[in-house]
Amino acid sequence: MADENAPAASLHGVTVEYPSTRGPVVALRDVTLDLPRASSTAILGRSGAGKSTLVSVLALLRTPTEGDVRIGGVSAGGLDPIGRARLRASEIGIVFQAFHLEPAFTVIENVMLPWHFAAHPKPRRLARNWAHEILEILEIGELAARRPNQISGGQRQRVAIARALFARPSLFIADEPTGNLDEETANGVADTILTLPARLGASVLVVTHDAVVAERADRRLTLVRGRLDPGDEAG
Amino acid sequence: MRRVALLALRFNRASKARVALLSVSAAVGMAIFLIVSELSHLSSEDLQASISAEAGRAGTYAIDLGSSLGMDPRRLLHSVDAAVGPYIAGAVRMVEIFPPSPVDCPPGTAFGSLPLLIPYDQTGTPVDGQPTRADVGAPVCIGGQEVPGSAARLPTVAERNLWFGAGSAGSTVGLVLRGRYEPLAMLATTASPSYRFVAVTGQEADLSFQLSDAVTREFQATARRYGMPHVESIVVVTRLDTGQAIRRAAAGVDVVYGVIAWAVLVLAGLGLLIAETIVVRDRMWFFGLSRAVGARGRDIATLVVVDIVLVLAAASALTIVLLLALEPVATSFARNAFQISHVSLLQAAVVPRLILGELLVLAIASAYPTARAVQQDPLDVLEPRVS
Repeated sequence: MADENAPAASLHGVTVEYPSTRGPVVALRDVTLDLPRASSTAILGRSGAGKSTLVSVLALLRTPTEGDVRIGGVSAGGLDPIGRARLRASEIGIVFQAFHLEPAFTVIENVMLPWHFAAHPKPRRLARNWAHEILEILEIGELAARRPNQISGGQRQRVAIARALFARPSLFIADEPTGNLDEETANGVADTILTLPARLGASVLVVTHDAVVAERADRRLTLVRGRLDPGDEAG
Repeated sequence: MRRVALLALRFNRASKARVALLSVSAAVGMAIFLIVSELSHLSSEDLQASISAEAGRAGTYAIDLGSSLGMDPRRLLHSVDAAVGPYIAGAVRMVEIFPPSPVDCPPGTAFGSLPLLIPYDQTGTPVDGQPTRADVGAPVCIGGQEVPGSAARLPTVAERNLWFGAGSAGSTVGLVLRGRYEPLAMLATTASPSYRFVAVTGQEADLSFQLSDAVTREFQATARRYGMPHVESIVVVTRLDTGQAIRRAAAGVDVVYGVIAWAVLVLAGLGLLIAETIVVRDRMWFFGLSRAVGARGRDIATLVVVDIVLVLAAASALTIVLLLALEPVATSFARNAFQISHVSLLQAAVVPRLILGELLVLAIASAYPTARAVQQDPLDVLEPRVS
């Protein structure tokens, strides 16, 4: 079980290497990072700096070559794949640059996707009510019965956010969430994401190359060639 | 599991045309498999029955014993039954054969000298039987005494093959005498009767030696006591069934039918495999996303397998409809090709074959797509890999 007093997530000396024909490529190098609850953190960095790798490690989708990843105080290294999947389902919400909404499903069905894989699910009716509630919080409640191709890009990203929030995660990760949106819509989505800590008590990590979005976070960190640049930390 | 199955069901509802097309394809494959299997089964039964009628049941042996060794028929039958029991299917049948003797009442000359044969039932009691149209009709003389025509009859073709065809009787013609006239048959000749036992192993392999050896060993001790140290000299085992080449050819036809039926089913499975591989490829991002929101490998496998199971469930219903619709056609074909009057495609025996066929199709269609979906790295489909 996650420890309520521990940081939402923490990395200790995390290194990630990929094999390649020219020898191993280091994507993350000795990264140590705490993500406190009810806070927002922006990670900036150029392409290839290791931002997506950081997201995948924090989302427990990738096992680091070295170091420890803790989610709510629970070390992911000691868990088997099923344990990691359960921890991911209950503690982590992820939003990707591509919205990844199933076009055959309605908005509410897309939001409820995590319910199908939850270890301890609520009854279907309660889960549906909760999904509606999240959509209302994100001001898209009236879109519940529509399909993704019937709504705008910004609305789609809000649906993806709603899906990520469905399991009430303690860690909310957004990987370039505004990358596919125009400036005005991007601002609206960024506002939504970065106000989540206050609303839900979750720790928000936004990975972006958009300095304007990053400015709104409580804390900003820069990844340079797989290393967190300590001199760049600001809050 | 139930929630994941619901998700798979939701996917199927979203692609009705695909499900319908795949279900029809699978149903056609299943229907052809079941029809060919049933026709194969019926024609094989028909063929085997015809061969058995013409050439005897596979592995039919005559065990001729030149003497009773002083034993009564009941004990004789029991001893042979015990000796050959491990090799045969069913019970041993026994007949008592008396050497040829004149059977015409003077001045008649219709039959001349004929062997007389008395069949025994499984308990070793002479069979008396009822009058039949095969009865000789006119009075005959057995042991010099006139008996009515209903006392004896001509053997049927099958009886002639089994009881007079080979061995110690050495004749192809004789009369079957009712059990109650056995004492007269004994008076008709001074020679001892011989005994023929008919045993059926049901196997193609020749077990003549084994049967001969078993019977010889069984009677060894009795024969010595009877003053006949070499019992093997009065035990003759002869294989009666013929047409081994026809039987092998019939078995070959069965194999060909079986191969065709299963090949159709495998093709149906392969068709479904290709379709499902494309579906899985198109849904790969969804599987990656599902992993990202907490799905386990088992959940992903369930999504793929349930998708195919739903197609096969629809295919089963369609298969039943197809079988009902095609039954007259199958009957007509069977009548022309195999002289079988009616083919019933929907019967209890079809159910296990249907289930077996569906399991095979499921195994073929689901193994690779499931493995591919489960092994897919979610990051590869959700975000470009950092290099």
